[in-house]
Amino acid sequence: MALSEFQLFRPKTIQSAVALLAQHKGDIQVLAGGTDLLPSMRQKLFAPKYVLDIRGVEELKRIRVLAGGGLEIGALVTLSQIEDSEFIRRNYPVLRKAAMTIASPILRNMGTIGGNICLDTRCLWYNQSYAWRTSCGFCIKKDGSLCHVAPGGSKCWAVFSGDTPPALLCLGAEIEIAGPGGTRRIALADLYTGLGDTRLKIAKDEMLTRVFIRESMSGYRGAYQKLRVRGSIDYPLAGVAVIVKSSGRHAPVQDAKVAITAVNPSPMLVVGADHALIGRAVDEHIATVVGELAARTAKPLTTSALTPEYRREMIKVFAKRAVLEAAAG
Amino acid sequence: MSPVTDKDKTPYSWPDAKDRSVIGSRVSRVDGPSKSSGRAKYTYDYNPEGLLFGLMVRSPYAHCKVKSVDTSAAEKMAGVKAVKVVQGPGSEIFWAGDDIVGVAAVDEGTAEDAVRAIKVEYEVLPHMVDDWSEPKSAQEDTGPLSMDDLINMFQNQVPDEDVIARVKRDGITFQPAQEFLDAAGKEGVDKSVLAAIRTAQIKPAVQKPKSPFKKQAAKTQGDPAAAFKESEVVSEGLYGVPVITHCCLEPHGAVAAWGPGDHIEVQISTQNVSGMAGQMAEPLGIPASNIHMQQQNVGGGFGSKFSPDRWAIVAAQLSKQAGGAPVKMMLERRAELEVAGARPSAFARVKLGAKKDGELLVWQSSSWGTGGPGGGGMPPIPYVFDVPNQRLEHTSVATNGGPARAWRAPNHPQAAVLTLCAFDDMAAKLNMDPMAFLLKNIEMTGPRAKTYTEEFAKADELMGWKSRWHARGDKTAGPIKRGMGLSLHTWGGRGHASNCDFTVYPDGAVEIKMGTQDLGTGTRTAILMVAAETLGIPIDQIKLLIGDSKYPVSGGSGGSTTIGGVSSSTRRGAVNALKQVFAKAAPALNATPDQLSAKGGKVFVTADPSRSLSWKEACARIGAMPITSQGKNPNKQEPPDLTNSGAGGVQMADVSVDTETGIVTVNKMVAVQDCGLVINLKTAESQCYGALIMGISYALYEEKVLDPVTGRMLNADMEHYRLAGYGDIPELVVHMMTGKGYDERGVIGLGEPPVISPGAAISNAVANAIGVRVPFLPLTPDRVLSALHKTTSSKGVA
Ligand SMILES: Cc1cc2nc3c(=O)[nH]c(=O)nc-3n(C[C@H](O)[C@H](O)[C@H](O)COP(=O)(O)OP(=O)(O)OC[C@H]3O[C@@H](n4cnc5c(N)ncnc54)[C@H](O)[C@@H]3O)c2cc1C
Repeated sequence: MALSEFQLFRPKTIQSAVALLAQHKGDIQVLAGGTDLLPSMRQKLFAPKYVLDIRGVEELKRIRVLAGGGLEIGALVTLSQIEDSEFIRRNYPVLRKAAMTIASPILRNMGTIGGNICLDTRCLWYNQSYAWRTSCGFCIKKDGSLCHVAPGGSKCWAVFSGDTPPALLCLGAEIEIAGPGGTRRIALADLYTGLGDTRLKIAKDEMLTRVFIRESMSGYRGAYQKLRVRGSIDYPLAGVAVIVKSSGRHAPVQDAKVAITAVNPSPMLVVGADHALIGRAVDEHIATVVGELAARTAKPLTTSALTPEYRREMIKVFAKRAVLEAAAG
Repeated sequence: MSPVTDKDKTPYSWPDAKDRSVIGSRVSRVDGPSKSSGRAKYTYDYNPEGLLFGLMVRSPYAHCKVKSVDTSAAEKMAGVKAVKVVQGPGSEIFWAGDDIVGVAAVDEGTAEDAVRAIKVEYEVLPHMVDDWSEPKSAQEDTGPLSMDDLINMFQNQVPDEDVIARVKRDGITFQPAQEFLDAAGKEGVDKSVLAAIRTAQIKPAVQKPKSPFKKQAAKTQGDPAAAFKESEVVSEGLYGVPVITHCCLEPHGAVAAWGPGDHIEVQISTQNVSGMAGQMAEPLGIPASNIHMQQQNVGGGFGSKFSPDRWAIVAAQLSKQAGGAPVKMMLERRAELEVAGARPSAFARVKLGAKKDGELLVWQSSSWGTGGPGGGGMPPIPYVFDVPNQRLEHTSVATNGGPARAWRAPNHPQAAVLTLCAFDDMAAKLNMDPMAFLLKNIEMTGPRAKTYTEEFAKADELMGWKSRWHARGDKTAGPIKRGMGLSLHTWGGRGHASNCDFTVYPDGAVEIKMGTQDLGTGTRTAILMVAAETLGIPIDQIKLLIGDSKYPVSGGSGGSTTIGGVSSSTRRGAVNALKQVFAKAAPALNATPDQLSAKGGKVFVTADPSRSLSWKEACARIGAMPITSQGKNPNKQEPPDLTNSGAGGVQMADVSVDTETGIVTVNKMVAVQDCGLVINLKTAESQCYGALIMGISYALYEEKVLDPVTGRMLNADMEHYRLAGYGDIPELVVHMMTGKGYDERGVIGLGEPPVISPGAAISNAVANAIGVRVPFLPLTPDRVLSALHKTTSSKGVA
């Protein structure tokens, strides 16, 4: 499958990148590592007239410990850089654990954290070639008005399948978005629309530039559990990130967060999971309760491999395991 | 070579073990460096000057009729050089992805634009893609019965009461002539049935709805009913293997150039270099002698690349239209998975009867499966074991799922799953170690009984089977359960027809030409090893030319026939060449030719090795003109046969199953395999390693998932059509049975046998771990969980 013709821009600064976005608003697509965008362009899921390759913006390739504490991760930091960062391993282990499960070493060398956060949603009926989609009458997400997953419905259920965002949600990450009017900073949780087609609350002339994690979130124990059929290269079919803070293995939990991915159109924090955990020593029972809460948050449909019922069950199992793993440190 | 002095001994034999220095050793592939460095050229890498990119408009529907085709817009597009309607108006299409129109354009993007610009109108027809549900009613099960229906029922041994009831209820469509009744009576049809037919109501034949199901003639051996009565233990189960695809990493296709004088040059990805031109001649309307085929490397075929397919034909036609510019027509990944290869499915309900001591008495099966629009035959069940009493019935299911192709050991992996899983369930019911159960009945395997017995002993040692085996259901605490399973298999593998030319030059250079191909199995290396052993010179002094239809004809690489064919023709050609070298060199050594041997780069007097010439010196006596010789397998005029048929192997798997998630992990596999005389121990072992990995893929992941609504394949990409990667490959232990009792049988093929058993062995290991059978492969997590929770099996996409 060939790429359609497009004009490539390679800006060196955020300002010129944003200016190009504004100038070609709607006809232009940001390219970071390209590991998600390029296959999709071959399938004609995107056919932008202009492609904005932002890899020339050097300042976005850094992981920086901030003077006032906390961490800044440039949008172009690769997943391998995150994996290799000793600082992240020590202070925000959940992020590293999640990043390490992504695709394969080669793809992690190319794929960026920004791309992982802005990853397009996925669906069996969407991630197909143009000719194939034609034969099925297309779908709501692209070129059509049907949904093959929830027939009769008008909502797109394509699934967000990035591995790092649930970890970042647990860590309360904030993101910086640059636009023609300058930058704004929002909670990562506010980036996602909850819908498979619109997916991101980011304007057509904006781009993601940085991720911030507060210092107060360092030192949490973390775990990321990912359901995958195959041991090598597999998108998550369900994923659960958990962070726990306590003074010791059997000590009561002081703070905790649980987030899930690959079972909804957005990554989601599991509401109530912190209350279930805080003030108690983690055991099998509490972990199971958290699993139930997580499963209630998950709305898997037939968007990918394996049945929805199965994936919902697995959210329980993986949430339970992630809680136990995080507590055990 | 071993001395050719023994007058009673034919010159064509394999050297004795003590005389072998190359054959049977471990030699790395000669083309390893070029492949691992990326220098090796595959068809895909062939980009001659002026190349056009070929692409197909493919049917979007699983079953339809082409109503109209409008190519005018595409033809007018800049860069589009040729357009060829392949299946025009009126054509009925039986699977999604079938070829409708071919285009050739200056590049891929333009070809894609052209494909999109071609307007095809289809009349969509109903499709059927479900092969895994148990067939409900075959055609003969409704409406008045025709003579054929009745004959079918007789052949299927439908019980008399049922035939009579049907005849009474629905009537028949023909006047039953006395001859028909007499003939039926002679075939053993009961009088009561004949009477019912004689007095049946005659009704007009009705157009029966076309049924995808077709019953095949039932088969009975011995007295199954009596054997079930005699049985002390009866075991019943449901087993199945879905349609999977070949998923060649290098897709199918060719680059064809139509040259002056209607001569065409074709680079093609094939398993069958010598057999291609003949298949292309007729559709192209030119003599086969005008077609020149070449291929140096192929990125996987597994049985799916014997024909030029429509793609290569259309590529040549497009090239002709485009004035002779070469056209590359290689399948996109999606098409490769949708249309270029499918292994038939097989499902069965099996019922077995045995004595308490494990003696197996009877096999009964009701099986079904599909090979696509043509339906699907019954795999060879019961596999390997000739159970004394049998009753088999089979329903062929026709689907709109794309046509079947031979897949590495056609029908054997399916037969192994249906048989060895049923045996394993019986052993569990008998509370017996399945190895003990198979050994108890091993005489039913016929001539291979001894081989299997020895192989089980070896596999036991390598797996620690007896010391580690536990009864069904791992009782240890925690969600992870561990288990072991086993299976065995057989295959023919006699060498195919093969010819080669040897040229020995006066400077000692040696050249071999053979119209064979190296599928990545190490064929090149094996040919060179045999030649080097025979001529007594190192491999790197021999030049081997293969992969060209101008070379002497050698068979297609299918049925594991290549190694037997090429090793035999090479041995014969080399012996013939050496004889001539000896004749020229003998005077210089004051000896007669039959007193000479060749080894270690020398030609010498066997009885007095101090009298010797170097190979170069010996060849210098040839004179100005090189020596030529031919090698031919088989050669009925000059026996014996250097190749043989009938390999046996056993395999064991050790797995862990996470009973909370249903995820299966293979911890270790052991393969013990015989293939007669091993030419290259290293590539023989590699063949088994590869087969185990492929086996893990189809046991755990592979399935061609067709959507019932659209009839399209849902997982025609390598994200959802999963193959095992490094992270999924466990410890693999391979042992080749060699030495006395094996070597003297001659060379036997190995490509297919080791891929037969992994499915059954892994399924049995899972059953052993979790205590219940997961009926169908692949053993996806949701299926494992539903088996554990005894819910109905779900067919989730995986
Ligand atoms: C075989 C394979 C397996 C994979 N497996 C996994 C997996 O297991 N888990 C997983 O999470 N992912 C997986 N991926 C997806 C992908 O590799 C990663 O998610 C990666 O992090 C994407 O980053 P990228 O830089 O390559 O993104 P790109 O492809 O460059 O971009 C992805 C999307 O985000 C947008 N975008 C990128 N950067 C910005 C920005 N700064 N601002 C605004 N928009 C932006 C792009 O326009 C595009 O829509 C897999 C991909 C492949 C090909």
